[in-house]
Amino acid sequence: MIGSVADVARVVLVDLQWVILAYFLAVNLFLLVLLVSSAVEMRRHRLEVWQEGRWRLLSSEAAPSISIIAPAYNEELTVIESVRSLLTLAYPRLEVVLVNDGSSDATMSVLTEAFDLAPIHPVFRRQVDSADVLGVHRSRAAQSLVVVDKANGGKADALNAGLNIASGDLVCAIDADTIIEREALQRMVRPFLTRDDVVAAGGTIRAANGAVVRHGRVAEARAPRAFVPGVQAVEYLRAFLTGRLGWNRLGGNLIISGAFGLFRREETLAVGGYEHRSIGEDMELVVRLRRRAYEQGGPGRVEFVPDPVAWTEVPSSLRVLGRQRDRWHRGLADVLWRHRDIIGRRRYGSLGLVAAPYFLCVELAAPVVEAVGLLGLVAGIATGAVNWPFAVLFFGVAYVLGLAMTMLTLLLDEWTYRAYGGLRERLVLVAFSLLEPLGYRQLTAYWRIRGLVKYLRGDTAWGVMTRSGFGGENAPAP
Amino acid sequence: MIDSRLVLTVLLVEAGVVGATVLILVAHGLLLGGRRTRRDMRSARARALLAEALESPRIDSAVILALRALPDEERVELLTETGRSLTGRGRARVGDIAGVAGALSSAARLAHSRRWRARLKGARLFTALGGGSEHLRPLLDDRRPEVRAQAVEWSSDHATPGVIARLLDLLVSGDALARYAVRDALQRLGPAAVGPLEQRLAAVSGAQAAPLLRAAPPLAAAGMLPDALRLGQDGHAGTRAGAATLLAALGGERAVSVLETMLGDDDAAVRAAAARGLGRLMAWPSATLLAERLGDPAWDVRQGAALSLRALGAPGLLLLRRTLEHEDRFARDIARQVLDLPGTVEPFLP
Repeated sequence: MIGSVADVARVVLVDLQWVILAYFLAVNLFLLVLLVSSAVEMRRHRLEVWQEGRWRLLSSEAAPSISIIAPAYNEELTVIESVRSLLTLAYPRLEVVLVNDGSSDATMSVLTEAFDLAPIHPVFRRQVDSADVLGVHRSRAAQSLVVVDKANGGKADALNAGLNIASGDLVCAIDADTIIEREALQRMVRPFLTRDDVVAAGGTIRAANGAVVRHGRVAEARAPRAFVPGVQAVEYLRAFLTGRLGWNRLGGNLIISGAFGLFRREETLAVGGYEHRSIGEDMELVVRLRRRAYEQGGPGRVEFVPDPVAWTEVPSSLRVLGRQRDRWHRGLADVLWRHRDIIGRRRYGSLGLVAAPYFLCVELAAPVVEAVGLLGLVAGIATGAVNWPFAVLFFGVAYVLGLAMTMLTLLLDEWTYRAYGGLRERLVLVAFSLLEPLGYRQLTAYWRIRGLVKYLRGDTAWGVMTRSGFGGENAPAP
Repeated sequence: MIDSRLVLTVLLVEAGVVGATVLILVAHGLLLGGRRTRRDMRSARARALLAEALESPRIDSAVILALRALPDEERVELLTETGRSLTGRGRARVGDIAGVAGALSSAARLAHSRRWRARLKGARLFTALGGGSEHLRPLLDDRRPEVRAQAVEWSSDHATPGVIARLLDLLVSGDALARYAVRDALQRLGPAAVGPLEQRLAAVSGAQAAPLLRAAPPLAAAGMLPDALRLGQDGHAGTRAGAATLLAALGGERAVSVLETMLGDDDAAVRAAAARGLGRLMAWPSATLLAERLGDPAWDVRQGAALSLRALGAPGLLLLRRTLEHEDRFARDIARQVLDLPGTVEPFLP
């Protein structure tokens, strides 16, 4: 009896490992499809924008107006630099709406002093709900800057308050410490000029931790040297250059980074703005916008534009990074649960048939499958059900194939934007890529599983994200 | 249970991909570094000679040789960057130099290519360097929207009646890519576009007129008034709203009279455009009619009317203050907001 139970367990373990192996093979093949799609899309895009007269936008009265909405919570260290860099973006008809979300530090007083704020009473319509607005101020020094002081309500709430106040045809939602490259908006507005069906667009985010930042601008792009931010720099390159860009050809994106996204204001207000109760509020809004297009008509396309770039400080400690990845995964689970009725439904086109199932079966499920696979592998080896060649094959498919994808992404970046500069930076990224599968990947799987368990238990808290501010001229030593 | 050779093969292939990628990265990086240094030196020399040539009455062979020594891509980049930075005689000079250096003949060849990306390149070159009418005019009818849009951009510096007529065709054609480019081009063409736009407005009605009316206000001219008045009574709401905006740009007694009538339109967008228009025209005799719209069910109309009243000065402010006692709470609310008073609906601090 015991022998037959052990035999059954052995068979289950072996079969399970084969299933998981097949899963990883399928996932990596799909990622390869994304990579190829991304390369094709990149080539098309670069040919289309070659020597484009983008500068004409600066003097065009036909260009749509843009309101940048930047929520800020306890950002006293970085907010002045951030606002200054926003005010000097090269775009005509630009408004900057900074929303102070009930900061307990000196964010508001720092802003008041730096930008000579004066209270105003604008005529605006409260189309989406938000926590109480305590005051609205305009800068006497920079007329295009509006500061909204409100009671604390979270990021989504702050964005909604900004949406009510903003006056632009398009709204650009960013994080307060995001540094946007000077011409980024000129590039990111392009899909809205060339198509009627675009409702939102996203741009590339890069890790600013190793960069030299002067006067609110990235003066010198460098790869981070520390392991934690460095490996995230690789992840971001992979996510944006391969993932997001590839989806342009496969039915459109489901995510626009909350750190840098451009939306049609009218449509965003029509769907009710950002959902307060969701911790994945940026993804949730995109899904709702796309749904609305299928259900009621109107623009619903979400484009990723590879060349506008925003820089952000990524977590430099494992503890903060773990909280972030935990929260992201809870957000993903939340969005997929809220919109579970679109999954697999033809009515929702590529959204329901391709994008949503992918995010469910791959993005959400992958860490669980990975964990089960690893544990099963260990158990299998211990019981003799699985031999070493299989274990090596498993590692090869699960991790080394992913490493190959990362290398190909770095190659794509080398051919195009060279995100972090010269050869030395490239080699630093290669080194982090090689180290990524040796513990870091597994750690992120653990954090994501932790997030999923928390979500299933009903935990929707944001957690504390600590920031140290940009390095300014004293960038970390190589 | 599993063949070791299979495992070895898989690992070797993966290691090969990883290793090859790293090698290519390193090699490309080294190559790029070397190329960049050589390119910078060549470009710097060509750039300096080009700058001198722009000031000189004749085209020196040294600048032509320096430009021809550059790879195609670099030569094109240098010439287009320089061309875009200049206007008038300076830009024409760059075009002359580009012609002698062979860049314009390259652009012409590209503009007639069967590949649309090559045609797009050719169109971009001519846009930056000027000239090329015989090559670019046909591209306004190109089958690719990207190429058409670039030809539209080129046309803002090369206006002829035929070109402008084609731009107006594209404006009403539903081609999203061209529409922005056409509106921008028409604004840059300025007075040259007014006559053709007037003629086109006279010939359209209904939904077709709406895009023309959206492009018209920056070019508003007296000759557009009769058609703006006519289109203000069109059956299509978008056209009426566009007509209201154009009437506000044109001004005059008749325009004000029609705008006042449009304050009672069935469509909120038309009422809002009319309300804003009366404020823009400082039509203070219309103040009473504007005040009636403070209780309009549509927010945009209430806002437009309230801001217009504020813009009218004393008569408008008087009516706004009276509205603070209005029985309609929405009217009271908008009046309060515009008069900058704290209220119970929106909790502002004083």
